[in-house]
Amino acid sequence: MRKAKNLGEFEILVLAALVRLGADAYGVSIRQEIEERTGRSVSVGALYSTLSRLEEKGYVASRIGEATAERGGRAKRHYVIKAEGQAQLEKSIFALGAMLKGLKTWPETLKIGIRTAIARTLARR
Amino acid sequence: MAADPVDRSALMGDLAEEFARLWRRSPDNARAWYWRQAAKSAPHLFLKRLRAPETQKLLIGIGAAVVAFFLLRYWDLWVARNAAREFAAATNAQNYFLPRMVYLIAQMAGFVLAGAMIAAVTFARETSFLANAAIRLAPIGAVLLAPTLFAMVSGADNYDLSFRLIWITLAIPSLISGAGAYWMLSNRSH
Repeated sequence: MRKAKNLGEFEILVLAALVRLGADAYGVSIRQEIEERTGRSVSVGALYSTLSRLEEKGYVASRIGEATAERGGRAKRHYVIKAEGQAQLEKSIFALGAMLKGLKTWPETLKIGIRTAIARTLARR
Repeated sequence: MAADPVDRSALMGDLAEEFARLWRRSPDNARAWYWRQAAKSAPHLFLKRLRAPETQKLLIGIGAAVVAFFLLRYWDLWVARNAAREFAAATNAQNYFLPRMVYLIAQMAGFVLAGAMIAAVTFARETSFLANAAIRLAPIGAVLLAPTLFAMVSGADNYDLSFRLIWITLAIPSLISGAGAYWMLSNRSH
């Protein structure tokens, strides 16, 4: 089955976390990295579901790591971004940047809210 | 429980590790965090399992079997029985032998169509012809035979035993047609 190659918002966050964490990337560290940097709450289920999807797309690889007593004797699963993932991440970020470039009204839109901005734009016409 | 067996160990380990860290600060918060995580994670993990190719194949197979069952009921009530009734009226048949034969032949055509339809829907390109046939034709046969077997066990007395036995053999052409469909699809895809 052909998998969709485009990245969703959360997939971008996960791939960016993998780039930042390098060899230390595993479930707990990825979750904490995203929560600390974005302020959004991330469930382990959503994270593993996304990592598995990225692995199916060929953007990340995983390996089973060491088990510790603190983890109840269960092994860590380490993730690393592959070259294809890196390329797709850059493509997605450039696409986002291209869409935002020269968009003078968007900071104002964020400040006053999308509905008000649309109403003002329509009123100006 | 909703987690994929491949992910389960690492996921449970992550939960245990974070739970232990939070427990040292506040046991109450750690407990609340754990149950929040479990509640928020379950839908994602469940959906992931639903999206797995094996689950999708199973669901498609079940769906196809259910559709085939209702199509056969329609076929039985509105096509095969009508054909037999009209044949009986047209030929002014004195006994039930010929109308029954017409009914069985019409029913057989329905079974052949159902077998081929389920085979076409559940065909898996990546597995061989033999694997396709062995894995999927058994449920097809079971779906087609189940209503008759149930009727026989429950003592329904609409038809005599010989008629029921003939009816059961109608599943055989459906299995042959299913095997034929797999064979054609296998040859086309390789």
